[in-house]
Amino acid sequence: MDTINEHIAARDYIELVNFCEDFELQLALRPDSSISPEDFYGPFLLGYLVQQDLPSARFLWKRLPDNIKGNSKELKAIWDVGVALWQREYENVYSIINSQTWNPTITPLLEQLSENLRERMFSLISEAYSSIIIDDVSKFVGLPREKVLEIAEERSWDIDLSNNILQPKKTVVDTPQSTSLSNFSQLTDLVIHLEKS
Amino acid sequence: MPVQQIPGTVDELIQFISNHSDGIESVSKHIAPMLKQLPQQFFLQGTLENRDPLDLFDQNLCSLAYLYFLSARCNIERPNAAQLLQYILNFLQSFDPQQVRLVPEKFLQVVQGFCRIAGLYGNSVIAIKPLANALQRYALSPNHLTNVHQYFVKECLLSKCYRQALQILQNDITEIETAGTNICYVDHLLYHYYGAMVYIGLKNYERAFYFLKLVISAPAQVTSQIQIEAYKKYSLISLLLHGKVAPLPKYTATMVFRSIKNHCQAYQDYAAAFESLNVKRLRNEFNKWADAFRKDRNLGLAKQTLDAIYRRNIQQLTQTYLTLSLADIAEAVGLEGNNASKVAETYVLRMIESREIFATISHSHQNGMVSFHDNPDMYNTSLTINLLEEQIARAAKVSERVIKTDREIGRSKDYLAKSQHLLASGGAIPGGLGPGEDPEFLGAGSGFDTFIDDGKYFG
Repeated sequence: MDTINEHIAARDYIELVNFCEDFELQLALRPDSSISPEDFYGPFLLGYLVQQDLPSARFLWKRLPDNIKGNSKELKAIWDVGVALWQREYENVYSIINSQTWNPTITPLLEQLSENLRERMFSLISEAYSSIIIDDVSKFVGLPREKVLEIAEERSWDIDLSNNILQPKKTVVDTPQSTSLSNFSQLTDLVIHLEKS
Repeated sequence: MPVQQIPGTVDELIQFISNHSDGIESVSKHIAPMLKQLPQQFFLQGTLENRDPLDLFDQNLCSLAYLYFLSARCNIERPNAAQLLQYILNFLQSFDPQQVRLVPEKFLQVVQGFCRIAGLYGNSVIAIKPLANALQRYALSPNHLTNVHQYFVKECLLSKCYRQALQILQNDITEIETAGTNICYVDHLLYHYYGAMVYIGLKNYERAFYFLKLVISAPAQVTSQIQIEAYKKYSLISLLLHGKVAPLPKYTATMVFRSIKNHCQAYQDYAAAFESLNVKRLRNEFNKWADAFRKDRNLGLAKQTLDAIYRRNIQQLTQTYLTLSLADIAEAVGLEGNNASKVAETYVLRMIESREIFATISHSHQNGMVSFHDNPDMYNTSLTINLLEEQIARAAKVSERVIKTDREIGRSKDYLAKSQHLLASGGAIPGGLGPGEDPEFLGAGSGFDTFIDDGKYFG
């Protein structure tokens, strides 16, 4: 269990999931009653969700033994978050996460999940909208109106309070333009190959 | 080969094996033929002191003999499951691949026994990791198919461990040795069919599409039911990916073409409805064939096409219009109901995120407007170069592989016999390289020195 906590603290979600996958198989072989299913499957399920790997989360849920699923309210609640993500009801994702107190182990995972989703939504909004109703933004990112306006200001979006709309700015992504020696070596490899055939 | 006396007891066998267990050559020369002669019943016996031979053999040094004893035990009706499971697990971890490859059919029996016992345990999850590790050591290279591949992927499907199958599935199969590997035709079909199911579950439809295409286009004299089932999934995925049923490769067997026509009526009608992009018609066809889809366990995929048709329709609109209101979009693509324009907005948003379309939504006016754009990527960044280089490297690899295969076929007995025969009867040589000719001069090998004096290229 310590390893799980370490991975969560290090925000290394790929390792978290890899570890959990291995551990699940071990556990199946040698059941260990000292480990409560919630402590293990909670971080496991959330590890998938944080990485947006919804299909894998779904299959984990499907293969969970019924007695574990039925006995844990928390696991059920985590899966509800997963279902909301799956159905793209993002408003519900935030509301489920905020509506209850979670086991301290997984709280950072849930925070990360909402944070990732919020960031994803903000960049989608700036990509897809030239103007958008403020309350819609509020729903997409799960934040109250005042907070949305604050963030909009930070990102220097135009705020039009009279019409109740925001005008997002497109984020310009810089792609590195680089020519290096490796380009040349690849080019020579290619020429050699073409000469050969 | 020296005539060996067949051992009468397990003790004698152990003695014999320990005398000859030095290196793979000795094992295949002395031990393998000996073991082959012994009856199945022999491997269920204990020693004179009533000890279990499985405890006496070294699993790595005597993998071959161990495998015989283990597989015999896997085949009995009621094995001591807990104990046997432990033996199998240890063996899968430490076997010597070279020895095990001598008797692939025995290894398969152990794998099958393992899956069965894991199932008895009520938790087939335990089989996944040991099998994956064993398979990686057992296969000659990651690109070799073995007789165990399909069982591994099937086990992943059954235990819902889809992601765990990827470590095997991500390697394309390019080598299928049929001599002495116990691989049969169906192994190849089933491996790729199950693999496609894994990829469908994980929503990697491109890869699933590729796997299904491999199944359908496998050379065949008669059509396999697996190919028909593969075609059903293929047609639905093709709709999701391309909006129409992509044509099958030209080299697909004629028999398969014919069988598809006769057996996949539902799917062909449904695809036609989808291609018409008429939502009402598609829904009608869906209702008409829903039972057939359910029976084939393709209902989930079919349902996704009901969603995909809206996206396909929206994509069509981008070709005609520069700006449209959300309400117009909803009407044009066949969305109905009070909040149709809201639904249309979510579709547009989703498609912008997945880069299926390029557009901006504006809510400056009463009802939202959508402006469609061209792809803003000018393909002038180093990302494009990287992508291009990757593709070139892949193409180079494939061409090398083709040359190698071409040469192998060119010198194979079957090919030579056939082309001799054709030459004798005055026919043309079918494709590839002719017999007796040096492949170097036929464009397959290096052409460099053949044109160096030409002056044309280096003038």
